[in-house]
Amino acid sequence: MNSTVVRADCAADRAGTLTFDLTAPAPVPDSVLLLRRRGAAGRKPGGTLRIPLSRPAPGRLRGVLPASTELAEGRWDAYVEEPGDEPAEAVVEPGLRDLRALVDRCPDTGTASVSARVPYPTLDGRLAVRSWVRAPHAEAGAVLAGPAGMTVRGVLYGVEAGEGAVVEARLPGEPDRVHRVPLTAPDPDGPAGSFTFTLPYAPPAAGPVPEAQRWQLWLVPATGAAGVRISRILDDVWSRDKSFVYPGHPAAPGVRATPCYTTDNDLCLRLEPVPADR
Amino acid sequence: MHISFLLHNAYGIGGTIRTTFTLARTLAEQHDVEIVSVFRHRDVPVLGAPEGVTLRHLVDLRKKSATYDGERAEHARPATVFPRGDSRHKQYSRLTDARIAAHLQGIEADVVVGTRPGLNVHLSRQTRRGPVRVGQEHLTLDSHGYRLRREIAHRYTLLDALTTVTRADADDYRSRLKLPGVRIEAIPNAVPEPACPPADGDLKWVVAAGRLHRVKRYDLLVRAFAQVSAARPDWRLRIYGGGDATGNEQAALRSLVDELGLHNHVFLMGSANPMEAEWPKGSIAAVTSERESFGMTIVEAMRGGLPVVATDCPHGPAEIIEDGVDGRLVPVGDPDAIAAALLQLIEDDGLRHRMGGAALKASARFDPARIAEQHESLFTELVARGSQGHGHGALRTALHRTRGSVLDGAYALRYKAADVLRKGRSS
Repeated sequence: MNSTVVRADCAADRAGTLTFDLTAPAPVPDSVLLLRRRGAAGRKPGGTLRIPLSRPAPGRLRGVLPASTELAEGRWDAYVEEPGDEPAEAVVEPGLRDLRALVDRCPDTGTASVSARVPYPTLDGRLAVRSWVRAPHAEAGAVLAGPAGMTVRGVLYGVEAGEGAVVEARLPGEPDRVHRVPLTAPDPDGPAGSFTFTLPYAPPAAGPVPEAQRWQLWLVPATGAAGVRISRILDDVWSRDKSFVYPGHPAAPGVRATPCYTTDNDLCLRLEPVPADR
Repeated sequence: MHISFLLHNAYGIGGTIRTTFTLARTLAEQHDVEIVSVFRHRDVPVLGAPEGVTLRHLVDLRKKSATYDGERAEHARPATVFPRGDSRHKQYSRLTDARIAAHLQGIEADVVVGTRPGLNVHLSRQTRRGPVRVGQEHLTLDSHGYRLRREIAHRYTLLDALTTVTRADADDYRSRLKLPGVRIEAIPNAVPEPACPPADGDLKWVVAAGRLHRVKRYDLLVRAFAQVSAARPDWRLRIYGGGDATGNEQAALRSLVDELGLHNHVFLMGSANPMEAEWPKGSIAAVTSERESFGMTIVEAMRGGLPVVATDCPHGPAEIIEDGVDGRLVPVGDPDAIAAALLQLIEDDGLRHRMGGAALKASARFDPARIAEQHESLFTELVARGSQGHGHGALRTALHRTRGSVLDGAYALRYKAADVLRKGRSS
């Protein structure tokens, strides 16, 4: 790998197509934009995606990632691959990311699968693409962090909530600790697929909370159906754990409950022990 | 013309650095331009080296560099030329006194430009006879403490010109300091046209941006937004910006958002770089500061096609926004007025789109090409007139007139004598 750095401006359109415009220093002809899945997955089949580069203007190279091209869920790092006997990879720096078309997306709730791709700068200043592929998908909207429980409004894509639909709070690593609450009656004025539930803090907090716990939230649309992870992915925010932040409340003696998002934009209930005098 | 900027540190991040880079890059299309950075602490400027501009440094603070200056004994001794009243004084030293002196005494430029009070003082005390000396004020006279005001009142008399970023500040300099013969002119900061298209005005977001500091009064904006979201829960607010070293404003804002129950409507997004692509994710911008030396974010938002609701605070906003035409000016410190102005633009789609269009058009006057022209014509005029009618009197005027021609012996001797005197004073 050489140390050349290429800068890429990105733009997203309403359909979810991403355009990458590469600027100086101009890579060698026949270069391709290479996306490689982060971690071990990047070395497995399907772990890389090569996007051909066209020349829309002198000194500029353009790569297009159509919404229809599959991109598995995960983080994909961008490189420019220069062909040759010893292929070289140039690091790609993020330039201007025009992602206004991703703000407040409302795809058709009837589609079987929902995907989202957000180009973003990594902590070390490189360009990467965060991809989500969910089939079906439960999109979280407003989260009301009340004093005794959290009420979440959302929209379900690719499946309908039927008789016996519940939301499960699951504690990873402890399959026995699951708490279920039913969906509340859907708002007749709400959009198609909308759902609401209220998860009280007290039941999960009744068990031991020796250290911080992150309870995952899953929507089970019908008795016996597979759970759908509740996340928020239909906008330009690639990691909302620090920007979509909610107030915490006492859930049990010495336990505080706070709705939160993970760095992967999955909705959780965080329980943490607090000193008794707080 | 050969134009030389003297900058505190071209390798960091900040408004003055950004503005100086933009101006230097634009002037470099027609002129020979250099930026001399007093300090260098990294290999590459964070903001990217301005194209076509020569960039060099005087004091190397890169620890791994072979020419590292940080351990020198002179660098541990407090500066005597750089004024104590300038907030950067602690970073300056006998070493900077001497390095800047050597630079200014050997300078080949037609125009030398200082970019902060302390460096303007260096310019006035140490520049060899010949080049036109222009001081730039990126903050404001009333933001300086008594000590600095007294020092610059005394030292700035030897500048040829002082530029401020607002007319209000230029008036302050004219009325509060006696600087006879120093041309005082207001030239606003330049903001380039964004590389992405302007906002379409339909996304239901209000956007604010800037470091999270008390002076920006984001608390007022958040309180105003409680009224906005009560009336129009479909509209939300994004505040971009990181915390700074002066306090825990981020935590204070976060608890205010919680207290007002606005966690589904107000989001602290952290800092975004470049901000250019974030403005068009909104349809209205808000700047609710208590003071703005210029109001850079107002111009940035307008160049992105957003109408701005801003407080009519000193010094910049009223010189940027035409109230009711391309944005709204509201009284300082009044959340009700901020909320009313935001709701006016939220409720009236036509008005919002019209004002956004007007903001886009009006803000073209801040284009780098047009701002650089104002600096260029000031420099050209000053170079043409030398420094007549100026604190140095007849001698300096006469000396100036000889610049560029062959010096005769007598003048050359006087130059040397003057240099020796200056060196003696400044070391």
